[in-house]
Amino acid sequence: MSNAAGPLHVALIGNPNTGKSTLFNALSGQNVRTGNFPGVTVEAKSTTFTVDGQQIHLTDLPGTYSLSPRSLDEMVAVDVLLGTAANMTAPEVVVCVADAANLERNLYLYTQLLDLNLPLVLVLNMWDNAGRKGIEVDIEKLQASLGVHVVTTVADKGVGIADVKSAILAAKNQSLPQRPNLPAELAAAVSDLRSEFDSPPADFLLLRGLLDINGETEKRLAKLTHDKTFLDALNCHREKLATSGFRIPVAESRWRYDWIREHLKHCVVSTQAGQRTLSDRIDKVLTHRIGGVFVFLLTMLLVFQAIYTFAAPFSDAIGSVQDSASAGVESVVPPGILRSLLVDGAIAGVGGVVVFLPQIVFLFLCIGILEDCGYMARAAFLADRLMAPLGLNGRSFVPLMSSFACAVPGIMATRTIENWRDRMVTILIAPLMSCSARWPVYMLLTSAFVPDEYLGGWLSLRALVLFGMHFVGLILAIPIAWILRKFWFQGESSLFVMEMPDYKTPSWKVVGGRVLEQGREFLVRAGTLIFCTSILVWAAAYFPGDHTHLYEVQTELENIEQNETLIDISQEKIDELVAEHNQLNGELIEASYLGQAGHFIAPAIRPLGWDWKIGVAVIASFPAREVVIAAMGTIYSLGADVDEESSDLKETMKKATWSDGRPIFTLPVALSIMVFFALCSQCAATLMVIRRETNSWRWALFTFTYMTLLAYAGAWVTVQVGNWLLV
Amino acid sequence: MFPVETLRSGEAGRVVGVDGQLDIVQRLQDVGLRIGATVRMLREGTPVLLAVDDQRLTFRPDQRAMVLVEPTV
Repeated sequence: MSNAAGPLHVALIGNPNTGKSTLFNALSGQNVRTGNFPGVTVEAKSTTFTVDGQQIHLTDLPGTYSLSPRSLDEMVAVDVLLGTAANMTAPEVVVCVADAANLERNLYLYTQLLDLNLPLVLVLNMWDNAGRKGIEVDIEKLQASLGVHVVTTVADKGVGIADVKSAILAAKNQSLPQRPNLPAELAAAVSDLRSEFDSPPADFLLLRGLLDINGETEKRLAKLTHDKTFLDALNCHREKLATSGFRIPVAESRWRYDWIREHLKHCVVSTQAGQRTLSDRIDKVLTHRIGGVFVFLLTMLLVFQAIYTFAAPFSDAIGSVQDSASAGVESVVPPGILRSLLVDGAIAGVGGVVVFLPQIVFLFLCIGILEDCGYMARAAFLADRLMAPLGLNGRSFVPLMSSFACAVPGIMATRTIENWRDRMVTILIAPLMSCSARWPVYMLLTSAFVPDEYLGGWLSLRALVLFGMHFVGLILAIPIAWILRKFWFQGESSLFVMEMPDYKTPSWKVVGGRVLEQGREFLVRAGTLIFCTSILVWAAAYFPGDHTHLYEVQTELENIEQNETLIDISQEKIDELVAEHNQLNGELIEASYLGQAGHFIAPAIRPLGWDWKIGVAVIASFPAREVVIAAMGTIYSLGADVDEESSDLKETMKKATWSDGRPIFTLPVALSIMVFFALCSQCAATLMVIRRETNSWRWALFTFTYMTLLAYAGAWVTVQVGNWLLV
Repeated sequence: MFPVETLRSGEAGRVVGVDGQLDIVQRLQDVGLRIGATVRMLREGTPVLLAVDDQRLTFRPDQRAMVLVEPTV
């Protein structure tokens, strides 16, 4: 317990969809990712603030309907509350957040919290929404009935936050709230169970162990006793309870709900119960079996078109900054190794990736809005029917959807899928979803090689190709999931039950905070991992050749350019110099370490119609797929012709030819590269997170292998079919 | 008394029993499909969309556990 000077430890807990994370943000003043989906608040987050001179340390627990831990996520909450979590002090006050419009069900968790014998504060959040729904709660009566301090808040508007803070301070010294008495037979069973331990754990754990059949707690207790017969003993207690009339699990909820209804009886009046709400009317359309799917697809298509259209001017602006940076360096630094490192390595590499920041920001903005307004749960509802034949359910759809932004949070969001088979299959197919890091590759290649035409006058062919690329992985995930289920993860699937939160206006603070966080992460990656890879690629492409002669030619050319009017020189002489420069350039990069490596792997990629430069860029991008842009930028910039006016990678790529003059990048080749990137496992971070979540390198290696093989096969089929159709 | 998924759109009932595999029964009760709750069918089919008191739930009928309701007016 704390002394007067130390911080007061407080835990924040509540059902999903109660705006708990928003309340946490409002209390801390610091932005945290929020939402109601599995895994959005996976980790217990904490913050420290001061009220009336008292420091308060607040820990945010994952949203949960009960304290019956059946997954890793839910066990975290119990461990924190009991003070058995590593490196965490036991809380001295617990704040329970409830949806004011759905009090009865929300108080179920509250009554389980009462078993901890800790001071509590009950927060009724979304108070305005309850009023709109015609639900009136008499706070005075409720406080008297429950014997607890009740605070009403509208967390996303910042209403009532100060009251929560002062209630936390006051709660520390208040008497414990009313709690339902354990039925006599249950109390007896707990005390019998206690006697089976040499050093018994908290009564709370014993109680949960008894009540949660096949839950995490009984596993934990079994571990503590080191006794293999413990589970049998536990079942024996349960049977005894059943014969005395307390049938688990129905009896627990009956006992608690009886108590809740008794205590709410005179406190809550609902004037519009059973009426259709605005959310219901919206759902009439959005959850329609056919209309809803149509709206979903249309929404996604519009998102892609919007990203393509709105982000373009911002990308162009960043591109021109990159051009002037290159020109600036060139005007100051004479031709030589330093200029090459700066222009061809750093600027061409990093700049090529940063150009896509606007697209990434728009994508996260769109996904954030869809998530925060409550639409994702409807998408999960629609998807459940499609997932069922694969042995998965709608719950897996949400992590898969968020994998379209990034597979790392997507895989972490699978934690609340209780059934481990469902969870494993979801983890293993999540990296096939087309994440935001694939955007740069798609954008570069579509804008360079897909004709800028509009189907029917309004639908951009390029947006359609982009849209299609996002379906390649999704569609192939179906047979993969089926195979995984069939051969590796047989067995029954989990129950599908999910809450549909009311629709709400997205909170700009929440969405904006997330977009900022992701944008920053993207730039940090560009500045660190991608920068380093660019330099490595540059060095491999620069050495070991002797560039002296090349720079002499280049200096001479630049002199001529600057003093064109002064020097009397024939056009023929200039052309000769340019040709010599380009030839030297090509020879040097072919002789470099990178060129040697490229020729080594050339036979493997020849069936795909790729030249060695593409091959090397693809290999360099295995740590992180967006590196390919940086690698291509560097390779093509080093090998670029000197009469190239723009440092634009697109133009350089369009001009790349085989030795016989045929262009390297045809439409089928461009498409095959895109398909390869859509399917390939090129992300060290994803493999690390798979290893962490499955607790074995085996599945990380498995993912890497199957995705890489799939990518190669997909690219091959694309180029073959493409050539056959277009030639 | 009949399984909740047999309600037609717009029909309402009161939960009188949840029966079947115990961990699934507990899970259903935790999210709100508990004895005494009022349910109204919003969308029939698989999965169903239900109004359970003041909340909305989606639920795929599962042979391992049955939510039994009796009709209300």
